[in-house]
Amino acid sequence: MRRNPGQRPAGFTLLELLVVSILLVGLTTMTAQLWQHFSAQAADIAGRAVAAQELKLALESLSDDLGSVVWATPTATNGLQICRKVPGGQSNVIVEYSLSSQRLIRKDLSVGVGVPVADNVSGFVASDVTSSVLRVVVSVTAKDLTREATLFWSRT
Amino acid sequence: MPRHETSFQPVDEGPAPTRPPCRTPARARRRAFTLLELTVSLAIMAAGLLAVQSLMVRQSKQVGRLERWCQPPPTYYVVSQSDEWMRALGAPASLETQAGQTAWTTPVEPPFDYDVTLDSIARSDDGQQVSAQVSLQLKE
Repeated sequence: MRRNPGQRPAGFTLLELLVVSILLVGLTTMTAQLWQHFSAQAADIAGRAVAAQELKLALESLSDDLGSVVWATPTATNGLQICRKVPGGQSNVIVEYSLSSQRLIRKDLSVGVGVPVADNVSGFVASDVTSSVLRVVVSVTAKDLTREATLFWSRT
Repeated sequence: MPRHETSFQPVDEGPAPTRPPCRTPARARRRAFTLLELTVSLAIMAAGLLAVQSLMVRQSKQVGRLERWCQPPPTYYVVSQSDEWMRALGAPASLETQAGQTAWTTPVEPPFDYDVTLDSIARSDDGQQVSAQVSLQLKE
């Protein structure tokens, strides 16, 4: 392929290539940092969401049983026994909440069946604050993040 | 062999004639970017930057909303149902973040007095809704 003597060779100069390479490296670095930031944020949010969801499940189950409560008392193993009315029926039923293998188990003592209501539960402590006030502390840990909620229930 | 001076065309080895400063169209086009090219590239870059910025703003808003949702109040006051209707229907206790709130109201105002018979009851899977059929008999 012949070239005219005075014609500049087609292609980029070394300077142009260097400038473009530096710009590309800068853009790639910026994008990688942004991606890393967003990924870390997303992982953190995912952990928080899991903790909040499990905590919400535990609280909803407790509030469901405490809605038509007859009596409630802490057990010797920091669990909680609730005697509640059966919806639409005349009889009462006793359910017991306890912690087992980081799961909050709700056991219906009348039939002896336990059902896990929340996972990743790191703590469940029911105790009497006074003779009329019961306190339940539920802790959920997900991805090194712990959420804790305290419930107060008055017997009066 | 006779030499024919007239037919000999010697090569001119003198100084090369200066090239006319003519700018052929092809060479002139390769010198730099045109204004149109620059404008197009800047417009594309601006559109890309705007897209990235809008994405970041939206993501930040969603993260803020999620963080608020993921931070439940640390203390709840459980208020059991005091109304017999609600207790018979198995309505859940209300979780209040401040003591002394009232979350549930009775469906029937006090001046009326009824005999209530619960015919049927159905609860949704998430436990948020309870529907029931009741028969009311106004007391004499």
